[in-house]
Amino acid sequence: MIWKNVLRFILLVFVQSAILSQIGLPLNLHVFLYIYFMLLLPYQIKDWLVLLLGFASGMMVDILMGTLGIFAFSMTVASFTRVIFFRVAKANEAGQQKFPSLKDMKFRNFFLYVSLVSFVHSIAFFMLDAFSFSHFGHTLFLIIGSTIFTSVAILFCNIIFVSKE
Amino acid sequence: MRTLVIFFKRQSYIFLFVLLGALSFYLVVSNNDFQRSIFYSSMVEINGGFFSTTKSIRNFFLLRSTNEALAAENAFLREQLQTSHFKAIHHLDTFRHDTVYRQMFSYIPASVISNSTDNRENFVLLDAGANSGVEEGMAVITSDGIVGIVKRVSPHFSTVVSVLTEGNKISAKIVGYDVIGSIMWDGLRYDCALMVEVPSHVPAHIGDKVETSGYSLAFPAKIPIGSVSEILTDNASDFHTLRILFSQNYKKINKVYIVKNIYSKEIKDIQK
Repeated sequence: MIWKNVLRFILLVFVQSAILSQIGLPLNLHVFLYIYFMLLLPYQIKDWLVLLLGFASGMMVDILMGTLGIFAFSMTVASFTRVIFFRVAKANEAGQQKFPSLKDMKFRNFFLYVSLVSFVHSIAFFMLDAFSFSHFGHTLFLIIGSTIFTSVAILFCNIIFVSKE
Repeated sequence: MRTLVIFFKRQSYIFLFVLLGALSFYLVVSNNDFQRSIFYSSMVEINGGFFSTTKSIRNFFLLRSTNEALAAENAFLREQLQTSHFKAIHHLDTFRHDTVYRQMFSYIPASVISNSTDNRENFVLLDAGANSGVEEGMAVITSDGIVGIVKRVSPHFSTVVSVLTEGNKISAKIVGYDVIGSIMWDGLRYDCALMVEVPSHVPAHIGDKVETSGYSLAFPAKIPIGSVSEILTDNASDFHTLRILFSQNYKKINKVYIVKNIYSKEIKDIQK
């Protein structure tokens, strides 16, 4: 279980910083697949550890990308969103599996979970990237577009990999 | 206390979140030029806004004293205006010190109380006396002409021997010629007199102005007397005799000035 997460951490950080953030999508949209690691951390893990691991994964991408702080900040905010989500939605948490997945949660809940976290992550990332409210329309377009791409990518990943297990 | 500790333990993730967020934000600002420049310029903006706000609040409380200072300055400036001044000196008895020109004559204003023009010796009574500084021998003039010489002085009044007195001679000259003659009244009419002892080489014309010569203790120079109305020249004589029409109507004198020669005593002393 731990090794699976460690592997996921390394692989996703590498994919994110080496491929996804390098090639870039049209219209400067981003796919933040690396948050998939944080999203699939086990239920029983402590909140502070979620935050720290999220921060660490963001920091790793930052170090590799040379954008010190931006991914770390976005990932911290996203981790916090996950913590809050599972504190509020405790009733839906009662699954058989040990970590959140499409299988474990209902599709609606999982989709909500993924899209919410990636939306918050996108907000943090693009607001920090633009660092101003001028051209807010463009920033909003990037946030929503990236949220959609990221959510779809994560759902596909979950369907492909977790369902096979 | 225990519940507080439990509460903080339960909510510790929030503090961790804030800590990590602040740390990453700090990293962003300190390591990315674009974000740093915007961050610091915003800080300057906030700082300046804060200071200007506090300053305007402070200034609001200073308005009262500022107003007072402005009002004081306004009053000061208003005092400088010409309209704020009136002529402080109404009488002409002024004594002015000057290093180049020494004042020789000062003037005491007076009003005529009684006046005669129809006698052979005419007198004018003035309402200024010794208390006002009037002394015997002072000349009396008006703005239009000469009146006479002070003869007697009481504390509050003085009598003036009018020009209209037979035998009085007043040094005079025709304007434009530095040749002295004398004005004397012939006792006939109150509005004219004779000017005698004018050398015959002086071309006198009717209408020439006659004024005081200034060769007198009493009268200052260039006080108007009258104008030439008739030339009564005797060809056998070396002197002109001119009939002078007084510029001052002696039936109408009211306000006069008593002329005080400041150096009269000194001059009299040296003439002894």
